[in-house]
Amino acid sequence: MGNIVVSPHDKEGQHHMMATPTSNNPNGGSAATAKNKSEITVLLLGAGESGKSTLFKQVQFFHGVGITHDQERIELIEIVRLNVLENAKNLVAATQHLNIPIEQPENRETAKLIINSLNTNDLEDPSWSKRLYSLWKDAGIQKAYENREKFQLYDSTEYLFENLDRICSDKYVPTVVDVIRTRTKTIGITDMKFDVGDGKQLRLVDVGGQRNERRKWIHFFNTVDAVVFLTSLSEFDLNLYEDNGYWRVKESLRVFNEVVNNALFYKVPFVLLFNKRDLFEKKIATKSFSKYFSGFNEAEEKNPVACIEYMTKLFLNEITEHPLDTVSVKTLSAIDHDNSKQVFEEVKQFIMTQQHRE
Amino acid sequence: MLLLLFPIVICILVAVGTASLDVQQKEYQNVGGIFNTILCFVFLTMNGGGVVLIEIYKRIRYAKSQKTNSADDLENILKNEDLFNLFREYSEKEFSLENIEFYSVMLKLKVQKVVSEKELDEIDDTFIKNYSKYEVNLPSSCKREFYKLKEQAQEKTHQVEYSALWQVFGNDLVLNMMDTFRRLQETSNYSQWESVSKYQKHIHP
Repeated sequence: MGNIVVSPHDKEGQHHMMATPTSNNPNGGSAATAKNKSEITVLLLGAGESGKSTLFKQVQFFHGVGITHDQERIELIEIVRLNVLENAKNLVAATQHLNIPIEQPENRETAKLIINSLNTNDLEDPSWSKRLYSLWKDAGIQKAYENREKFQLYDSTEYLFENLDRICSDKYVPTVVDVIRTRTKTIGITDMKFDVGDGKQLRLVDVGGQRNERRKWIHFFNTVDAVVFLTSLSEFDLNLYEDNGYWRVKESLRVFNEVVNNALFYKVPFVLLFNKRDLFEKKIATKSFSKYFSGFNEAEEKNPVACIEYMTKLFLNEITEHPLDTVSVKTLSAIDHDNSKQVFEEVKQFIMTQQHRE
Repeated sequence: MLLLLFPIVICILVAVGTASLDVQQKEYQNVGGIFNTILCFVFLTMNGGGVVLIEIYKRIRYAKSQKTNSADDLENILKNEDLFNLFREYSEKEFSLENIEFYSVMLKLKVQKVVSEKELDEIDDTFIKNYSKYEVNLPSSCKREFYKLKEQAQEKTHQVEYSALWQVFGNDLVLNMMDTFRRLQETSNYSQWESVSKYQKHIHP
């Protein structure tokens, strides 16, 4: 594993971001071949909530930057607590929408406060830990949670509610796992660089995945040396954040098709990462997979390997232009540090090998 | 309380360790006094003093670097014109200018307190509609609420209260901006602005 050489602050302390066309032209199109370039630009692409930023945070973490430092994580207290509040609000709203009563009177009182007045500062009071946990365990809320495919809810809901005793404390400092599990919507484009040996640096670019954010991706298509496309395995029963009537798998396939068949990427190594394998395996144990895919054999729907093979075929069938020998497919649980490290190392090796072949 | 008690106990121990000696003994027993103090220090550390030390260290370390953490903080901080411009420039480089543009419009509307139907249409065309020039990253629930508000305006008074509009977008808009702002806080430009700002406050309190 190479050493990190540029943290989010470069020599001048400037955050290392996507530069303006004058200073670091993203559309400049270097004349050097990828093999000769000292910098390899890898784009993390994918629809919203596919796990790009989670992987990005993991890479930062195992290179000793960003959330490794207490101070960086302290600044995220607000975000973790906002995640708790958003989840609580969404669950309460879902009970109303799905006509599921919250059973206990004291939990109904808590629900009212959550909707009307509770803010993140209130969560410094440890008494909220008990109140929110009691609400979380309410039969009505649990029933809504079982039907979470019908509304928008973060993947980390259960984790956050199970850790309320730490989060609702005035001494709370988020752990690395808290930060990894916290959902933060990426706005705009950010990047980091690190050494990969042979005098080369890998520049990893993280982007937002929602529809309006995708319009920004094109600024980097000219200079890209490899693409890592993430899609969430566990989204097979979910609709989009930005368009609640649109199936996430359909969106992900559409975006993948547009990216992988883009003429600018014909000669670029392409990695397809099926993320959230951990959540997916849990989900198919209780939910029907075949209900969403008419071509899939129902008898196999509790077999994760068969399901993932089916999904792989579905995505690979979208490739009409890109040479298949420069496409690699892997599964990932981005919230798992060791798995992320191993998979990212494999991805890096694949990209480096492809660079040498070129 | 515990934080206060700790240095007091140390001071008493040091004082007792040295003041009780007469002048002749002092030369020889100064070393013994220091040793006594170190011993007491170790004893205190073993009995929970370590936690207090860590706490003191954390407070000193983080006291100087309190950063913006809430939506209210962000709103207050952006009242500073220089910082607002710095943030705008940074947002442009990170391709997230649409949020600042929308926020600027909201600030203008805040002054007039009501928003006309025409202004709602302009907001829709510029920031909300798919593929609009500055389309902002918003959840579908937010857009749904906005269109409800627009319908109400069309059917009734042809205007809406600014507060109702902020209720729809405020939270998500500030959250979007905070994502970018947090990275701005890591830059040298931000540190420079912070230093200059502190100096100005110092000379013109």
